[in-house]
Amino acid sequence: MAILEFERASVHFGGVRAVDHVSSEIEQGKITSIIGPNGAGKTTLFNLITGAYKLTQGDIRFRGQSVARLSPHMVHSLGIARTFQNIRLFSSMTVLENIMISTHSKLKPKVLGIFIPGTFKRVEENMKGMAEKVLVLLDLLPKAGYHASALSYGEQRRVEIARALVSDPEIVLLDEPSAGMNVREAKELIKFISQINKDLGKTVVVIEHNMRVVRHISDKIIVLDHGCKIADGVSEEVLRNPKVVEAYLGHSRLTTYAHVR
Amino acid sequence: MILQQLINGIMLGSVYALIALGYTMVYGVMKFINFAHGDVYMWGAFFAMFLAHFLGGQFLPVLILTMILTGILGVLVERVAYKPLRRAPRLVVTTSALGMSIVLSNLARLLIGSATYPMPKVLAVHDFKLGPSAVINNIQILVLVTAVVLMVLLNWFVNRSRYGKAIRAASEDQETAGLMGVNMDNVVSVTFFVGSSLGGAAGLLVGMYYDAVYSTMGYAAGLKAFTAAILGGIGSIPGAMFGGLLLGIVENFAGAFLSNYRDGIAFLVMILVLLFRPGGLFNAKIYQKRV
Repeated sequence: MAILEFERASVHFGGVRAVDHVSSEIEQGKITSIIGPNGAGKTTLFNLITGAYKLTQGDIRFRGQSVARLSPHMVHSLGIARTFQNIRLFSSMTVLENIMISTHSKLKPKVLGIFIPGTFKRVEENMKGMAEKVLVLLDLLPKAGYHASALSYGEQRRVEIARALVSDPEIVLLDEPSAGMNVREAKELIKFISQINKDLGKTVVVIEHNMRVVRHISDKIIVLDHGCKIADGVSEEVLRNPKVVEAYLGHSRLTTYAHVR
Repeated sequence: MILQQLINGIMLGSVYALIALGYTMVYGVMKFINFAHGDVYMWGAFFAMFLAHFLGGQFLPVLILTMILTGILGVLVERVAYKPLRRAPRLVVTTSALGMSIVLSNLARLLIGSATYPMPKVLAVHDFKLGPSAVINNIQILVLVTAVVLMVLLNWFVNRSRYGKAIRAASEDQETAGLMGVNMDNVVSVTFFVGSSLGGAAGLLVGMYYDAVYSTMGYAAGLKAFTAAILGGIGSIPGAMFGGLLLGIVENFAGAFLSNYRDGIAFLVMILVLLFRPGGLFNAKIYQKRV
């Protein structure tokens, strides 16, 4: 079943067609990879889904409901959470606080409750409980009191994933989670992404450049180039598609025979 | 003499600090100087005057109601003058704030009048002798205690509460905070409410201390508090508290020894501090640009 549908989704910045008429579907409970050369519009697509950018044309639907006009926090409260290509933690806050922030959209009451002491305490403890559960899952509990900026790069990436998971979303969007990781770390990441998918039952969408990761985890691959979708489907098939090979390696006699390995 | 000036300075400084917090909090989240804040403080003094008139000598209810009313005024100002400009360049919002400042002070003159009004007595004055030449009265003590209690509460709110965390997150990176599910409209409203209510409290305290409320009182106090916020490092909450105290003390000593140059010396201190620490004393990392 499609949980997220793109219908001719487009966003134009002046003359630049960053994402142009992309139509595709994300299946519920599956892992979908979005690949493509730099500047293909992958992160822009994430920004469109999460409401950071507004669509110029077309529509994006989550469970049949359009998210095109919603502001970021509303999309988040529907159950779509993300990480960032460049780590975007709040560096002056602790790891625990960073994660607690992301529980906001799940909390009630919204504003006035902050002035009622009893409610206030209950909400705070609720936030903390949710955050600690995720920290255990990601093996980050010993680091909970550290400032985010004091953590290693790999740990910061894990905090970002924890922050995306804490609100118990339906869909987790991971923007280049393996960026800057070595082979061993990338292998662990593959395991962890499958865990998010299988054990927690999340729909996962990953932007990835690391073909080893893509090949291992993807149920489906969507390929973008210059803002347009050039292919989508089951992974092996897509990776052998001549258009995809060309987008990655350029067109020449040599690459006609090449396979993306 | 020195002790007396120190007492007066700390008292004046704690009021500056309360007002400065409004500038610094709004700057932290919205990245512009809310020049209407001084006039929100003035309205706080007028709200306090009316409340004191109707409620009589009950300090705490007057304080709480003044803070709530001024907080609501701050939220309204934001809705009318800043919210439509959320994505506009900061210079445009700052200009809108200047306009709002004029609107608020003229509104006070139109609705209430341009005279100087006495503040109805909330407390009877008692003097306490501190040594041979220093005197402190109960109103001064009340001003100081109230300011300190409010600042402690604010610190707790910002560090411990859900919206405090959201305010800190938004000061660092508003876009990411939104994408992590924080409703920025609510955060901005809470910021304006808290900042303005502290300004309102300052209005009550100053009105009580000088026994005078008038429609242009927001101008000088606003400018001083803004200076205090810059001095401490705008965007930094401890900076605003410390900057306010420092400015109040410097100003009082300058006034005592070189009476004509009181304000000049206060601003000179600011210039000197900024020459050596351009980000202010508590240079908050919060507003450093992401690379």
